[in-house]
Amino acid sequence: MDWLIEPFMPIMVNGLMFFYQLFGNSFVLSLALLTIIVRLLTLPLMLPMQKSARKQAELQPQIQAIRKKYTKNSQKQNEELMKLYREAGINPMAGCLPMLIQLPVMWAFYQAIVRSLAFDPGKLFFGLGKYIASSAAFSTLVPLNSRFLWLNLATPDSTYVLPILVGLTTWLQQKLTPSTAASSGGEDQAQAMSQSMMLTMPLMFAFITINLASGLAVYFIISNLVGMAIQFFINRAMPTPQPAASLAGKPPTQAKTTPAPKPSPAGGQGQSQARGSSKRKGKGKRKRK
Amino acid sequence: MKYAKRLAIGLLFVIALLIITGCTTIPQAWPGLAADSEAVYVTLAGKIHAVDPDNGNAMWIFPSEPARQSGLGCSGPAKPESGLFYASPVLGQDVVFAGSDIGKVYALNRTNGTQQWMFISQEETERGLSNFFSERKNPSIIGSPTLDGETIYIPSANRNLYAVDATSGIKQWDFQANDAIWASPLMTKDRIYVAAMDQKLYCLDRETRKELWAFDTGGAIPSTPALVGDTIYVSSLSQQVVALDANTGEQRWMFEVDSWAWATPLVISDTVYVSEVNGTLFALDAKTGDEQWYFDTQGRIQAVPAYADGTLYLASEDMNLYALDAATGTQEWQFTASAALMSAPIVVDDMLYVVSMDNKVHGLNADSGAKIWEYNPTAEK
Repeated sequence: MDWLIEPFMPIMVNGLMFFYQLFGNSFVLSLALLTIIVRLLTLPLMLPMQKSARKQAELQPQIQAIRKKYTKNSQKQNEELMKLYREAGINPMAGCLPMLIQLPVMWAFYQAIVRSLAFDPGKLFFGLGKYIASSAAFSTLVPLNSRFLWLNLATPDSTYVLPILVGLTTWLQQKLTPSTAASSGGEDQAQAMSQSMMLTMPLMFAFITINLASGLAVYFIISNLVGMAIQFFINRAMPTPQPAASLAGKPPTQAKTTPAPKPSPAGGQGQSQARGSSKRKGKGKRKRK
Repeated sequence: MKYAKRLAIGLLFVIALLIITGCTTIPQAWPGLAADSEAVYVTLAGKIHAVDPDNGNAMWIFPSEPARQSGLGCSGPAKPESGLFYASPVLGQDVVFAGSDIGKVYALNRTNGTQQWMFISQEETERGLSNFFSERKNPSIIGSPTLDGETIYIPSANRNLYAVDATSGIKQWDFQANDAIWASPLMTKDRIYVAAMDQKLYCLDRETRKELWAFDTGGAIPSTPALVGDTIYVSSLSQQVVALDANTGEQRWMFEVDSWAWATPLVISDTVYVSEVNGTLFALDAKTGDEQWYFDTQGRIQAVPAYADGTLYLASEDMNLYALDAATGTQEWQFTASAALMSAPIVVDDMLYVVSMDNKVHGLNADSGAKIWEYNPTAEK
């Protein structure tokens, strides 16, 4: 898989080295600045994903209606869903593609950190040396100063403080990020999965961080904090839609007061549901097609 | 759609795990080689192998238990309990010494591989809040120890140089540099030269261990300097090779290269051979540092060349072992291995030994480069 990250590696390693030198041999400051730059540069890839998620959230009532109507005919269900997406101008895969595109960048960044903190000869020679051995400016920086507070950034944090912070910031970032299922009262299964991810991902990250170099843990924390800041501004610029309670929505008393009209394949169902929602919650300023 | 969603989430999880576990194909180190007329000793994938120089058959392997399988995400065998051996073994009269990346130095019986003693350079601090302010030191033994009389001098990545009794394994004293020590120390009658990753070459009084002088090369020093007469030659990651007065530490000359100078310089007569990692070997006048000739390879060079009877044997990452005329740099022949050659070759009598990164030891005829035998421990069961 190295071929996937190789185009980005020289940029990442040299970027880390440049800022390391600029900040008076501070790896953490270098890491923080480069994380902010990388996150900002990949922002244009993240925005369509967020827009797509929001649009899908808006369409959840119609989606639920179609799913309910064609429960036993999955082929027809898919056709109607695709039609709905097409009419709303949504590409369901559009959310995944930008994510996949930025993965090699993030991976390269991760590897650049690992290689920069190398303290064994192979990683220094084959890893970092591959990118900076010919650089007169950066060659003299090796080995990098890996001390930060009580940490040796090249080794795991023996106090478990960083793994806890990684878990916490991962959870907070997820909490800030609206998901299609959670924000729209999507189907129970998807909601359950989303909620399960909310818990398992931070735990998984925290657990894995226990045995990783603390430099990587610091990166995860900085990245999460930057991600939270970015998400905060995105949320302000693009408020999360509040569609009608879905057919599977809660609470049941509200569903009773707003009985769902008969769904129509053309999306009329969605309109009436959205309007119903607006009345009930006092929101729903958006017009649907 | 439900299944597609689940699949997508599952895939993302797997990708995330792969990223987190940091799978990479970077080798951790290269095999180390030592040989004499009785045996060839090689450190391969966390084990020390003693190989019969006549036929390439294994004599013994330490430790004898098989390596465990690796965990999630990354391929390759897991780290053995003895650690990985970065450094080449060192040969004593009856004992072979080898240091591992978990700070253990083993003294093994040369005949059967049984452990005589073990020295631990520095154990890592234990996890827990009680160690909140304690410093975790990496105890790896990267460079080969130096055996001098009854004492073995062990360089450690925890910044210490240990003097240890070679027969008992008991520590006598230690010296601390400002950063890891990857290079083997050089011993003279009254001095000790220690090259460290803190960019300095230290000269110590052998008796008092007091620092007589230190020279800052401006770059980390990963390999052992070469001492000939009253001149000491040092390769540095500052892209320089410097020649210093061994008595005073004053610089005599400096030769600049285009990339890291990693390998130990080799001094033969009036010529010093130095290499840069980008794959070029230079022959320099030992007195002036003037370039005499150079030889380019297509791969990187980490190892010091071997020399015998007017011929240099140069190992390169391009999988070739080059036999060069030491006087002119003219290529005499080349041997192509099955993988990169990163370790220093060794000549014993008319045999040339070289080990490739696919963990094969090649026994060659030193005159012609013809392969006589190959030791492949993965095939040996």
